[in-house]
Amino acid sequence: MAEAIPVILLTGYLGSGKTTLLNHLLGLPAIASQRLALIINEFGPLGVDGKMVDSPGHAKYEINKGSVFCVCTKTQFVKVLKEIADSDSCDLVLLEATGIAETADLESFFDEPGLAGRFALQANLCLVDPVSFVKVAAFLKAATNQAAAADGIVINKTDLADSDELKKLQEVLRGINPRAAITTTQYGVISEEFLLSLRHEGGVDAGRMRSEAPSNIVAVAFEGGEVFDKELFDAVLREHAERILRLKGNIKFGLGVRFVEMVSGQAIDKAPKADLDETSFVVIGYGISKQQLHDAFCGAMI
Amino acid sequence: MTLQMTSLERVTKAIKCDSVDRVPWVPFVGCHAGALQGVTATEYLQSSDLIVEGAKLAVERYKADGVPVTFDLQMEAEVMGCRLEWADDNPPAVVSHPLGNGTKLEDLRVPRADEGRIGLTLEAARRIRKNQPDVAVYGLITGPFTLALHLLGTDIFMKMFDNREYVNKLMEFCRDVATAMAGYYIEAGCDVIALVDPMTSQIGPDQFREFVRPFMTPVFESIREKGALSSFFVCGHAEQNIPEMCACKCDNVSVDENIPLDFVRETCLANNVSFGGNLQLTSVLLLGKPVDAQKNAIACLEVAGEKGFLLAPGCDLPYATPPENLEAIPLMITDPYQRDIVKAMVVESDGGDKLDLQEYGQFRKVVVDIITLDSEACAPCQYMVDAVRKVAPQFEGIVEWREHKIKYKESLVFMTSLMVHNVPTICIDGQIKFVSRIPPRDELIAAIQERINEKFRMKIQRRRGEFYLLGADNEATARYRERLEKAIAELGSDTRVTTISDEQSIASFGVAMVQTPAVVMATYRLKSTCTTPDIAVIKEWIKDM
Repeated sequence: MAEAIPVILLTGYLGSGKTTLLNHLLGLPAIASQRLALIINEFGPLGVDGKMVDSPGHAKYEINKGSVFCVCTKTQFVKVLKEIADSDSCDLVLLEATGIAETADLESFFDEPGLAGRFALQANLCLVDPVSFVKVAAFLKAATNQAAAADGIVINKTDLADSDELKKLQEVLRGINPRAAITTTQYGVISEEFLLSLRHEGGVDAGRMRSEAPSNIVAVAFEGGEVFDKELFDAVLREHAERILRLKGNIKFGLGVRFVEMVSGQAIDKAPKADLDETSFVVIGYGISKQQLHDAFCGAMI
Repeated sequence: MTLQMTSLERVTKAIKCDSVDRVPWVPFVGCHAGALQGVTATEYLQSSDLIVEGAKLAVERYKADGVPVTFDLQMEAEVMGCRLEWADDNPPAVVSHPLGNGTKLEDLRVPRADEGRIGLTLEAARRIRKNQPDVAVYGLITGPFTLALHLLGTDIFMKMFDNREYVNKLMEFCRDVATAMAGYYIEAGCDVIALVDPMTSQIGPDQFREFVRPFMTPVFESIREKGALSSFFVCGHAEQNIPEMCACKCDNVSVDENIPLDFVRETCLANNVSFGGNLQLTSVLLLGKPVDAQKNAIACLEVAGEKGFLLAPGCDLPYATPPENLEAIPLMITDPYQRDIVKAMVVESDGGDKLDLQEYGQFRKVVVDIITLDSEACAPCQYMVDAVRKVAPQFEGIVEWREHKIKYKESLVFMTSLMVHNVPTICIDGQIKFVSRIPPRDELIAAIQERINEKFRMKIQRRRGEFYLLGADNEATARYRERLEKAIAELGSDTRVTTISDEQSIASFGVAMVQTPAVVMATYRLKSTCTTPDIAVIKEWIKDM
């Protein structure tokens, strides 16, 4: 049997810059010199995404289905991969996954009957947007699972976050995936050395992670008539500054409702947009249990 | 003995967890009905005639107890402004999300029964109902969370933090759409309304409880009030949400191959909710042969049992599913003889290739076998191999380990011979020790150490033995004894010599005095420690002697 075709997998939540990175990769000599097949699987305005890829002369396959659900997509994937393997004209596959893809599922597609041994994952690259990642990770299982399974993590759009925020994000990502190489960049520019240094190591026990919500990033919401003591509330923010990744919303204090937003330990406090009379905020914590986070804020209620 | 039921009775009773004459079979034929008629998925989904004919073929060819009107989770979204991209061999794709492109939530309204393709699909539902009075007709509607994703896009995950009120309002709207759609289908004569909400597999139970359950429960309540049955379809890795799905008060939960059916059975039946699934869509139904489909069906049936179970694929059947694979399935439910034949075929093919491993583990070293899919391709497998790799050197050459990748035939044979059914699995000297679970380092060391101790004990005990020297108290006997003792001393063996001179005792060994001097050698074998075995077990030892 012919040698397995290497595959570079790109994952990352919508808006993390996968298409920009893909275009950048297409310009790298190590990639450009190969006979490529691009597989693009994006949820949403997929046609647009597919067209944005600058790939004259390369075979391009778009996997897009209204039923974006894994099992259904699998059928299309298997078909496309068979076509690529049989074409005998491809040296490297670049696969851009949907923002909500489970990496373990994608990897398992390569083991389907008729495909086993024909492809070999060379590197699994996960893009992270410093602003959206921590917000989304608390709600979307795939966001954390993608980072956990990556061989290399690219923190993109670093211009959107300050250095404290980036430092914290690296700590969070290290906690999720201690073995991945991490690099920071803007506009998806990564060096060829970084890409070539990556070796696929199979990722984490994705089966286990999938069955649980990401446990190290938690979200707690408060809604309703609860009234908070401003001093106690501020004390909670100070005490847990290291563990609060994000906080945002309206908090009813004794003197009225205020809008509070906290990012990387810094809280701002201003008048709410509308005339509100109720508490409604969400806090995303890291390295603290949901219950502890909940209890901490309950302790600040009047 | 339960009297034979009609298909509709069978499905209805199974969904209610009542007893049935046999498990019902509900192939989810959607765009695959296009392939059955030689038309594209696009043509099929846009013609009530083709939808009606598709259902008829599904009932006739696949002997279905229940069929969906069709399977299209883009229909409601299209009416509300999502742009679709159509395909020949797939349902269409949603490629634009109106709420992400400037449309306001306030501007969206619940679709009417005659809008877009809803009208032609409802017309098809009415005709299918009329044509198939004894078959359960399923009306499939887009679940509220999946519809919300169609309308807003994946921004919904961001908005769960940034704008919860908006997500709640959007979910309220999607709840209203689902309630209206359920009403339309019930009016058209559907027996079961399935809310198909695969995107809920993307979130954990906390988010499910907050953003899905409050909006899903009222839809199921409205279905119940209108006298129909309800089902909650999910696909993908939604294991974590099954208890929450049951808490939405649906009558039935249907899952795909990503969730273990035994877990679904336990969880659902404990909540008095019936369950369905989970034939493998791609690997088996699309790419396999009829016998693979039959084996898969048997596996599902055996795990699920009869109570409250409906055999079904996990999701919309792929367009190009070979019909013969689906035609082969109902026999596995209706004909026990055929089922036994297929089961025997499994045994036959395995039996021919089995290794004799009776003596496995008698080797001087301790052998750790790791049965994997392939540690380079499967993360849990890799972690299991790593765990063993790290621990083995600590035993300084006493422990030998090897990986058996079942993608190779010989490894598969080895796996079957060791009676291993799951990967990855760790066996120590041929004994299954850790199944689908990566043992913590200390636990793995303890398991290996236990086997080493056991082997050591066995070795010591085996070396121990006794010579019975049978002979009169004379010189020949004494000389013999001397030689035995010398040999024992030279080998450093732990063996006793007992001389027996009494004629009656010698005869009890089956030896006559004229045959002396004679020697009977006895070896000792440790049979148990710290336990008092049953008499039956002791009898087996005696027989073994």
